Amino acid sequence: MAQETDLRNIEQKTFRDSQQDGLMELVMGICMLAISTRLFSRLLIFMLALPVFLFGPLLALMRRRFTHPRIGYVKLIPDKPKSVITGILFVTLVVIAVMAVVFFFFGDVRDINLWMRWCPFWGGTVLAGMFSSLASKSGAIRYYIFAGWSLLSGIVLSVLDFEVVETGTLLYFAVMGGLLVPFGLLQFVMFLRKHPKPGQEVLDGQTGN
Amino acid sequence: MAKQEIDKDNLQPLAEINRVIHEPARLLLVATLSVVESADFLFLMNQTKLTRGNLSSHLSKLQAAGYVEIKKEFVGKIPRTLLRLTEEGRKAFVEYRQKMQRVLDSF
Repeated sequence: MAQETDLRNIEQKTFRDSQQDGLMELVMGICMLAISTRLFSRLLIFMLALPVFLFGPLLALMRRRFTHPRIGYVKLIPDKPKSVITGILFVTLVVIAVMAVVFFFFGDVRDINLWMRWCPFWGGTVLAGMFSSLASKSGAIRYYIFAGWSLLSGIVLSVLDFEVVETGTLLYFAVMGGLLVPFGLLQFVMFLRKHPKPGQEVLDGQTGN
Repeated sequence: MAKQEIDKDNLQPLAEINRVIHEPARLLLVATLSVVESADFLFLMNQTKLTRGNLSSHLSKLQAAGYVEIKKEFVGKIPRTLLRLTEEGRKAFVEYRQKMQRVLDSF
């Protein structure tokens, strides 16, 4: 049991160290701000899809440029895609079921505007689940803060009444981006100060073989 | 006194402990590599706090035992030494932990 705990500690530390650059938060926040300002498209599907597709390559590019030369490269054991999709679908179904029950008793379940209005709650719950999973993998408290912020802002922006129904969703992305960008930026600056670029002989990593 | 007596029958695994993995620095290396898919030399150096020479020498021993695969590649113009635990290495680590657990339980 003690051995399991120690390995779990090593796993969490490795995960934390690989994410210490703050770039994930920074890039995710930038993507969310881009969605909220409708930078890419006014059409909802493109507005959401483009930043999502840009997130991975942009993060990889920045890590190659800034992180790997400083602390090295690590490829973590990836989550099984099947379990990720199952998790998202499960949360989505639970949220839709809860919303359907609430709308049935306190509104009109066929009102599409009501469903649109509560989109921030759905997004907030899915993201809260994702951040909770990151918190459990890393043992870092900041992910619990992000999860709480995501859920809370999702609920608040769904409860508030806006003239244009999608304003709540756009504001949700702005609020999330508004938290993630400054946090990521601060973490990134601290990372650069803490880890100056090492000399070429260390980068080479000769193993003497 | 009876409580402190060691169950000698259960100490047999002690003689079978994998000495390649048992060395503390190599144990740390194998444990670190067991929780990732792969890592480069610099990352391992930061994680284990070993010096370059030390890390090189331990990695060579693990490679010779067939537990670690070392791949050299270029990322742009920068050379990178990528390391990963082989299947054999993962199995050996699991066996090592089981044997150590049995030995420690017998004390």
